[in-house]
Order: sequence, then structure tokens, then C-alpha cells
Amino acid sequence: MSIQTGYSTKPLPAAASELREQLGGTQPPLVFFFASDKYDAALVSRDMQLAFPAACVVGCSTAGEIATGQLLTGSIAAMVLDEDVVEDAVAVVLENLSEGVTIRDAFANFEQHFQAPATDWDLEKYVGLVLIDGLSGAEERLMEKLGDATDVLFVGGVPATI
Amino acid sequence: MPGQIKRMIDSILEQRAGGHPTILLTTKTKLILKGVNPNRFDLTSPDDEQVLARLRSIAAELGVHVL
Repeated sequence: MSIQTGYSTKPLPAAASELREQLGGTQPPLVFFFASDKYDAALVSRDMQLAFPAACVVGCSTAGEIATGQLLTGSIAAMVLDEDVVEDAVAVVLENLSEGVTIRDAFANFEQHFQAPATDWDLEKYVGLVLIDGLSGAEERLMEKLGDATDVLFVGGVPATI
Repeated sequence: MPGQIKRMIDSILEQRAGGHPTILLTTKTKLILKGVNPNRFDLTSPDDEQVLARLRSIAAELGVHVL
């Protein structure tokens, strides 16, 4: 299957292992996870990456997880996108956004990874995902900078807490 | 000479979109969000220096060149 979703209410690291099993034990190129803030952010990030070592794993905290038609709390919901959907993925972290939004280094990273300048990215093939700390108060500034830098569609949201 | 604003807007749109209809629409939207509505200017619009200055700033932000 091209896109699969699953969830776990177990503690770490069992939750990450359970998600890997639910999601077919595959090694997809891209994994999203959305975790209750009952989980330690650093630990859940580490364990999810360990569960999908070949994937670009990105995630954020939530105030409620939606998975397979259920609205959950205190869980980790995950989505894997296999090679049929995502050929390649890369993630970068922008820190201290409240002190200023600078995306130059991030885009240099993207351009190096994809071996193409941002101005050449095909709108039909590239898409961006933004998960931003709402407490930074920098959502609009970041989105404007992204829109200045590229015409590729960036979508996303604000985690419940960080 | 009136119409500078319209010509500058068209230049920004042409450079950024390169004829791509979707990018043309998104670039127009970006201009609106940045405070300049392309639909409000034509070749008879007076050359408002404040708008022209804003367009030069927007062009720099979008990585295109205008005179």
C-alpha cells in the first residue's frame, strides 16, 4: 500500500515498535508521526527514527491524535508514505524563529539534497510540509519567506505544544 | 509617465511565473498579501512613489529585478 496509517497507545519504546509492525515492517522513505505530549519529545523522535532507520522521520506533538477514523489522546499516530508516493525526502530544523526567520541555510540544504535550485523545483513533483511551533509567533513570517523563495506548495500546521 | 506600477507588476509576474498559469495566480496572490493588488492598477494609474517603492521591495523579496 502506498500510504498507511497506524497508532499506538503503548509507552516508549514499545509504541515505536508497534507502529513499525502495524505499518508492515516496511522501510518507507518518509514517515510522519503525531505524538501526545505525554511522550518525551526527544525520546519519541529517537525511537521513531530507530523504528524506521532508512526513512526521513518527522513529527510533532498534538493535543489529540487522529488515526484510522479515531480521535485519540495519549497516543502516537503515524503515517508512512512508500516509494510509490515519495521518491525522496529531506527535513531541516529552523531554530529560534521568534528571534528571526532565516531560511537561506535550509534552502541550501534542500537544493544540495535535490541537486536543483529552488527556482527549478517542479510544482507537480515537489511539496513542502511545515510543522511550526506556534509559540514562536513566526508562522506568517515563515510562510511568507517560503513563498518568496519558491513556488512549490508548502502545507502544514502548528503542533499543540512543543 | 503613468503606468509604471502596472509595468512593474507585469515584469514581476512575468519573471516569476514565466508563463506558468498556476505560478501566475500564486504570484498575484503573494503580491496582494504583500499589500499590492495587481488588479487595481492599469496603464493609466498614476505613478505613486510609495507603491513603486513597495514593488521594488517586493521584487527583491521575490528574487526578481525591476527597473
